[in-house]
Amino acid sequence: MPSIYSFTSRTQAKKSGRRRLLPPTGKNLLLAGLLLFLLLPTIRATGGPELENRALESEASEPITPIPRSIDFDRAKAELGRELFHDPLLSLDRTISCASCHDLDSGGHDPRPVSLGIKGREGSMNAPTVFNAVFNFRQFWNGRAADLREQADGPLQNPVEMGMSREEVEQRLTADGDYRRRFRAIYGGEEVRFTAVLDALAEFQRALITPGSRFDQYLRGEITLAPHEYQGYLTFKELGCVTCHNGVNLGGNSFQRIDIIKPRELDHEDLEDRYAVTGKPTDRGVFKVPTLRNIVLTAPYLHDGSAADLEQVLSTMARHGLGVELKDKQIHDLISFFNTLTAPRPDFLNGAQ
Amino acid sequence: MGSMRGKIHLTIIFAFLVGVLFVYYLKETKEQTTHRLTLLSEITELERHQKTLQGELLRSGFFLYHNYDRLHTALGRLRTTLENIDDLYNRVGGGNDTPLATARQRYRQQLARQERLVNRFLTANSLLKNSAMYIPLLSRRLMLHEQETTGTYHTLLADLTSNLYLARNSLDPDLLPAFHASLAALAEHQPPAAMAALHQALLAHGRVFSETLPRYDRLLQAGLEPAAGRLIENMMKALENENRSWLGRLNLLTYLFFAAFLVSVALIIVLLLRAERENKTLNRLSGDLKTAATTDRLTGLANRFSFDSDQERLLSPLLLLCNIDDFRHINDLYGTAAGDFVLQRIAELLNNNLPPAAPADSGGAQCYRLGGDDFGILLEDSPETDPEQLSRHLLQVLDEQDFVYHEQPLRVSISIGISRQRPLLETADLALKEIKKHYRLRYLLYRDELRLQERIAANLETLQLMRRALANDDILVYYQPIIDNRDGRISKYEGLVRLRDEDGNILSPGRFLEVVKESALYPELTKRVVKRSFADMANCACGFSLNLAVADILDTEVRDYILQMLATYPATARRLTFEILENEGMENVEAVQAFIDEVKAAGCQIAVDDFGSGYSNFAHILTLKVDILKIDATLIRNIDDDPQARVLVHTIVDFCRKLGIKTVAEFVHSAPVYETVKELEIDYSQGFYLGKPHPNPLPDCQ
Repeated sequence: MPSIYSFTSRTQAKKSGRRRLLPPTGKNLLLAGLLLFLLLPTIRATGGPELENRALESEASEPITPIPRSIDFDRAKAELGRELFHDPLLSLDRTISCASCHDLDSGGHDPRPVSLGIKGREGSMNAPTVFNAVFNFRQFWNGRAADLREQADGPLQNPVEMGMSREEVEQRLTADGDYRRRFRAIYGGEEVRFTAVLDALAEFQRALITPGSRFDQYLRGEITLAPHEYQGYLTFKELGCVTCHNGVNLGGNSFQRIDIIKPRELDHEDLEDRYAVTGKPTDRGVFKVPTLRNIVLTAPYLHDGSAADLEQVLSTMARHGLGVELKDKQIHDLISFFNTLTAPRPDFLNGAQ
Repeated sequence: MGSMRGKIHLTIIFAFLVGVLFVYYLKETKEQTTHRLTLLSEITELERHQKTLQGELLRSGFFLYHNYDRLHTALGRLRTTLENIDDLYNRVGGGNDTPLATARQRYRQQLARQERLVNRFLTANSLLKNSAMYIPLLSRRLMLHEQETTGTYHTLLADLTSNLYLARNSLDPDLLPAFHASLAALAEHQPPAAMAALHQALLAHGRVFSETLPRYDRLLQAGLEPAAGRLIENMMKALENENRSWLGRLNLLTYLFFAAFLVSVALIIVLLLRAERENKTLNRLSGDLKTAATTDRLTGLANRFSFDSDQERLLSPLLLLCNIDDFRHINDLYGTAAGDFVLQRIAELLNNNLPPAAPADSGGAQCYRLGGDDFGILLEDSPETDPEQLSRHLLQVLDEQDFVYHEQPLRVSISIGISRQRPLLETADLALKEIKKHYRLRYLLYRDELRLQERIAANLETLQLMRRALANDDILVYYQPIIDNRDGRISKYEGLVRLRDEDGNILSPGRFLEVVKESALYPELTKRVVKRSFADMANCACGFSLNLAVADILDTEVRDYILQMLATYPATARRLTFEILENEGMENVEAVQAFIDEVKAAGCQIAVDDFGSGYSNFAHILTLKVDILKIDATLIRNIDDDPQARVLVHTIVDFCRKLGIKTVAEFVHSAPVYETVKELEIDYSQGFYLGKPHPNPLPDCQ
């Protein structure tokens, strides 16, 4: 408890300290200037370390870092990628688009436990959010794609998802005059190439970052958290959640197993886990740690969408991963903390279509 | 010469090639140096990132809460740096089988290994840390949970925690058996049902810890092993070796370029020396050629070519274009050898009699042979220069010369066209043509009036005017009274020709006579004047005079007409005086004399007109048995205040009186002149002061 107070009062103390260092509304401006000049080294000596400390605390010593305010991307490619992302032309029966399973109007994820592909075919995994996906160290639940470009290839050619082939994608887009012209303007060549399609889709998703959550503002020292939010963050650390959910995405940077203490029953035999990639028996049931960014918006949870809400997923994680039961207050605090991770929609989506 | 040019071309090509190669070499060297230096720094970077990765690995083990992104960032930087190295190495042209390429390849594999290792390590790391954290946490909760738990259970829990810390902090798998023992003992223990879940969780964490620790240790050791560092070191060494051998090649190339440069310089020196030698020969040759090109071979004079260039240099050039009269005749008659002889003599004469240089003139006069029989004397004009005087001098010199070719005397004369106006040759030639048209004219200064085209057009117009006047009977005679100085009364009239044009304007003879005189219309004009005046004078008792040109007298048709008129109207004839120009061609004195005799016989009188205007010849006066002498306007005009003119006129009057010749003063235009004329006892006066020409003479003078 005292830690909360000490933290919240720190900025105020610093502010008043600085005010004291400023010269009073002096009559003699010259004297004030001289005083300032003489005091300048002192200000640096006294005010400096304090600032640095805080910056260290919020940016470097915390295991979580804020999302950068902006990211470099090619606007023309991203606009093209946006169009492709929403175009059902990219599915075999022209029924679904990327946006069908990545709802950009909410959390960039699929609100259904598992996604449905063409002809209503049911997938095995819950489609994760595309927001901030660029910060993940690898893509897919089992990390089989190194980056967004590789990732885009997956759903396009997956028979239960969009069911296309490279040739079909190229043919359809080349046949469309508008696409052909836009691809030629950006990538050159008379025909649309599959790699260019992946690149445009990746560039679009690269633009989908959500800086500006309250927690990021807190990390940058811009605001303070409410007591229960701060308590939630402490609980998050004390329970050891942060051991895996760290970094800019609070996850997305290591492979882990959630049922290491109390094994869960696996829903499917053909689970796309880490084992499917490495073939090592120890990798069974191992998945990429998902991001907790915008976690409140992205229900249902877990790789199979088996946890319908936050309470459920928190109990599951605590029970199977840590071997403990959470108290209501802990769950309440954690959810308060999770709420600070929600950010406005990506800027790029608010731009003109 | 040809081989010389070939050598020069070869040298230029060689020097150019050396230059191009040198520029290429510089560019390559610069690029290579830059790339090799960058390569070196990139490998250093690789080493730095490698250390960062290992540091992060240690940190993630050491700190409970660690940001795993930092490891991935370090890995990403290693990948990027390695790509940069690949790119740079390709640019410096490194092969695929060099030691550096091999080291690079091996490092790439090592990096992939490291990446897999990091991923597995992070998994193990999270497991180990959470379990290591949860075992004491759960132990404490179990101890607090139920007071009734036995001391043995407490001891077992304390043992487990203590062994956990030993194993965790030493990371020594050898210490795990003790932990296993504690765990097994704890598993034997049967806690109360309420604590069963916590107890099971504790045991699970214990199992996770004991399973993970060896793996964790292995992965950490593998991550920290210096293999990657050694590979980087190898890369560095391989690069250093490559750089050394590259520098060796660079040195060799530098020597080669220096040698090529020296060869170029030597070649250029040799060529320059040779060119110098050939230049001397060429200068001599070109001097000879220049002389040949600017000199006429026959006469040794400068030729047309040098004339053209010389005349351009003069500010106000003056050209005397000398043409041999009837040169073709000489060639035809005596052969071209004689022609050549004449050309050479004339050239010599002209060249020896060049006008002296004008004071301000630097070049002086120069003589040229401009064409077949054309010679030119070109000089800078000056106010003191009198080209006509020069011409007369040259003509005189030539006239004094005898041209004798093989004992055969040749008649050689020249004409001189003079011009100050550019284009010199054309204008001087126009003047020459004009000369050839006029008998006796031997030199002429070109004036704009000579411009042929304009003159021809004007002449044609005048002739047309005359033709029309003749056809329409528009040839009139005006009569100017001649006053007897003794009583001031009209003694007689001088008939003066007038032409009336279409618009009724009366034109004076100055406007047309000169042109008509040269044409076939002239005899008709004379006849008309005679006829007209005879008709006019039928109603007048006064005497009258008519002007006759020598050409009229020599023209038989005109002469016969006049004689016939005289015979037809004998009364009129007796009142008629013929005025003949004093200075006009007296070559045919006999013919003129015969005419004079005949008209005198008919009762006519003879007057000499314009006496004193030219080469006045008293002898002629005597020969022609002149009755009246008309003193020229030039003598009369200013006689009132010109003592010299008075003396001259006095002499003439005196001479005439002694011979019984009457005198007439022309151009009496004022009272003082009239008074003077009377004073000098001139018999008659004529002029605007006394009476202007008028179409109708008074019927009777007396």
